[in-house]
Amino acid sequence: MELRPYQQEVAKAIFDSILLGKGLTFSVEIARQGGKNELSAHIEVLLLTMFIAKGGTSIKCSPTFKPQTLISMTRLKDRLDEFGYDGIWQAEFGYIVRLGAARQVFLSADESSNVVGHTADILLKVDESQDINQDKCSRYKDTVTDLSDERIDNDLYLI
Amino acid sequence: MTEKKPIGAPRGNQNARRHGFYSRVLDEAQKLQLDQAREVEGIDEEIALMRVKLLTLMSEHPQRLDLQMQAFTTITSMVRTKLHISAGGNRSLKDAIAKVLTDIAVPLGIKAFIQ
Repeated sequence: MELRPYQQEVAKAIFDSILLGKGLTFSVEIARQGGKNELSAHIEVLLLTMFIAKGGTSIKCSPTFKPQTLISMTRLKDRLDEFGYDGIWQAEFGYIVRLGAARQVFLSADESSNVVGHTADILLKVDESQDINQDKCSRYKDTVTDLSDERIDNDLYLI
Repeated sequence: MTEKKPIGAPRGNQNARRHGFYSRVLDEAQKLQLDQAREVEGIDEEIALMRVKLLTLMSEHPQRLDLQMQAFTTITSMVRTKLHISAGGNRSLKDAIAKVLTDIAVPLGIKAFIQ
């Protein structure tokens, strides 16, 4: 599935920031059914491929584990299979998808969830960030900043 | 006169069926474990588990060389299976990377592909 021009525009800006180490933050607003999650899955597939040897972690957090996080994970797994990675990617602990040395971590921003303990050294995405408690958002950012301030390449907020 | 439509799901329907063929012999705790087991990919965990079992055997039954050899043979077989799976995956890995490159990276103008 090819990205549409407006999706490509977003992806180009994000990868430009990641590859050049600009560390920018993006807020992306796309109309319902406009392909926001598809764009997200494509970005994840490309990042997992690019960092397959070097390794690294991207984190995507959604307001709830069920259904949003589960839907995101399923979509990524489906895309990986479609691109021919079936039998190559691995699931870890029920919320991580690993391809070689690269990992995509899926976290929930439920009030009860614990977001401490992961480091987003490639990309941090917040899905539906308008629905996520601001304190929780800050904790996500704190988690990344506290643990690896010098390693942050990019923060992305997908709204 | 029209026949009265029965209330509820038809008899014998499979709406509540969640765990498939083997669920009939599992208790509730095991059904939960079955869900977790579905998430496991590859056989790394099984290999690691067998290694722990072998270690336990060596520690607790040092004289049972027969059992230790059996565990060792099983581990060898599992590792061989894992390597066989990996070898088959190398070709498809190249193809998959090429597809991501042509379908996603090139349209985005990304040149520094693999980091």
